Amino acid sequence: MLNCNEVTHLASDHLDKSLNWKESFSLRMHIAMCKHCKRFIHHLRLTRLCVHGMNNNLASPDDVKHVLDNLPDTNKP
Amino acid sequence: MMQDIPDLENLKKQDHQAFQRLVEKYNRQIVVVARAIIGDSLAEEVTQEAWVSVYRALPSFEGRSSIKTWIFTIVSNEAKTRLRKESRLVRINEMEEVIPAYLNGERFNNDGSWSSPPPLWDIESPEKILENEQLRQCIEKTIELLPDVQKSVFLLRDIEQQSLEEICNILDISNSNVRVLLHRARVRLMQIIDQYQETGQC
Ligand SMILES: [Zn+2]
Repeated sequence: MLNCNEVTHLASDHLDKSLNWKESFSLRMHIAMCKHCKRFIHHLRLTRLCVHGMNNNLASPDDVKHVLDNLPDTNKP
Repeated sequence: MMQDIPDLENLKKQDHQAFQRLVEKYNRQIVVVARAIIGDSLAEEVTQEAWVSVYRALPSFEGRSSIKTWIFTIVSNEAKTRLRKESRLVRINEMEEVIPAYLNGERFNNDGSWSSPPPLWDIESPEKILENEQLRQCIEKTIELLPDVQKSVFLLRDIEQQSLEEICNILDISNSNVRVLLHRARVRLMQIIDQYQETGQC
């Protein structure tokens, strides 16, 4: 039987489905009975969904210009 | 968003605008990957070299992997080659990292039960969390301040959705290391959200 501290360490592997069936089973048994760990995993999942929504940050125009200006002349678009 | 679909046909023709959009979309990630392998001082240089390689190789891109995985592999190879050439040791030091409180035992009793369980969140959906400008900035700043390798793992996995196996290859670190670093980064961000929800600031 896993304790709460152990569950916190396995939480990401649980979200990424990297646990073996035995670990996965123990973890599911635990969170079925423990509201704190259930909340921990729920919040970790929400956190991951948040950052997934942040993938639209573009490079600064200066950085882009720097890259394009430094292409070798023969390759310049 | 349209820019999520790179214009492959034009890229393969080395079209200027298509290439510029590719640089806009991936330059930040490329710098992060380079820094994780070669360190801060050479990351910009390696990034530039990688873009030149990408540009030259575009006509022969065959689409066997996604274009972003292909680009990450190119920068990774540039950085690894450079690392071997450098006589001085540019290995990244990740030892100074502070382990998040959820993971260093301080929130647990000796028997492994919670002494300080996770607080309730008032804002309970990803959309609402991101709509909160201050909280969004807190999250962005926390990502920015992650140690180099951890930041790279996190960005490749949770923002760019690369597989764990691809990340091991790109960064040349073991599967178990990738998982540990990823977990620390996620938990650190979760703690920032905890803190914001409890105190209204971070
Ligand atoms: Zn528990």
